[in-house]
Amino acid sequence: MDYLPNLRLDTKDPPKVPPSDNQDLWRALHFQFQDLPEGTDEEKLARKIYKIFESLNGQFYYHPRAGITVHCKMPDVIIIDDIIYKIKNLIKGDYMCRMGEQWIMPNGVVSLQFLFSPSSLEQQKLSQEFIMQEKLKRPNDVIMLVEDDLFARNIAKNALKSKFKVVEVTDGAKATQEYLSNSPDVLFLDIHLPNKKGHVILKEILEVDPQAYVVMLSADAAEDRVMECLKIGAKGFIAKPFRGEKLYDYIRKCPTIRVYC
Amino acid sequence: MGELFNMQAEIYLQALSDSVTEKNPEQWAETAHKLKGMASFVGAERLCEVCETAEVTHTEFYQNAAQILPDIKKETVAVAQALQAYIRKVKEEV
Repeated sequence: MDYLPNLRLDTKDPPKVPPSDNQDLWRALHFQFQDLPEGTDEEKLARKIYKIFESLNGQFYYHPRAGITVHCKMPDVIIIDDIIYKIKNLIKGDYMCRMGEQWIMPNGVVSLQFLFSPSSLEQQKLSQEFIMQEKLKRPNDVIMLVEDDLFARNIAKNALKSKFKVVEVTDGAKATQEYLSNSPDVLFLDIHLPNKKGHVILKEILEVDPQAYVVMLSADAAEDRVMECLKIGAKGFIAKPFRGEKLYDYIRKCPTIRVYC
Repeated sequence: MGELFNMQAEIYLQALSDSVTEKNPEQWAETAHKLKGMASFVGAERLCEVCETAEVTHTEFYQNAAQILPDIKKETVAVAQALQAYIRKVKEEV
């Protein structure tokens, strides 16, 4: 069986390789971090990630869409989790690291795919397919509440927590990033938020994930922003105050929701 | 719910007072909007109305804020007491 055909990319001379000689891994990090100039913070970061990956002791491949793929002998799951945790801690903010496809080959070699992308929205478009994959792969449906009012958030959370994993975000500035990290099935998004307004967040999210299922929340049903959000692509609007049942009306309509509710 | 309301109301009232002291109309309108949202969840219509007035008149903030603030405080306390009484009653019935 032919895995990952034509995955090697030989378009450029690789930059100077760090002290060990894993050319493919260093080349992969070099491309994933956008042609790193030597001595920059990104290059230092790449060197740290390189060290972490090296502990897998495998064969590395690179493709601009498939990211870094490592072929190694059956690793302990804990080691992989530890590696992802360390990498995410290193790159938080500026870059994203996602776990992509995983295969076990007939000879017992495991193929693991890691996708790095800068946090700029343009680049994150590449990870749309991963968002959908994550939604379908995980055991629980996920609902995200972006709401700064503790009272409203509590009411929504209490209505949902028995059936769903509920992710709460209070700061508008963090909403898009949290959406991309959690890939929720349904996002309930308040319009009046500190630091970034709901309609701006909605635009950002739909640019990255046009299939996002976003429902707006606002105390002002007559507000112009509500119409604007519906035009931009929100699936609906819930006026405050709301009851839990109103949230479920929208959740039931979401195509990726699997739990009976 | 009662405790949460009290806790949040205290934060919002303090923020409203601060916005009057600091002459900050944006914070005033934003906080009034939040308090209105919370009040709507417990059916406190009068408090909603006062907050609405505070929110939409923030353009005349310097004339109105200091007058409206006591009304908001009075209504918030009334709502908190009514909520506590309601919760006590429900507990007794259970």
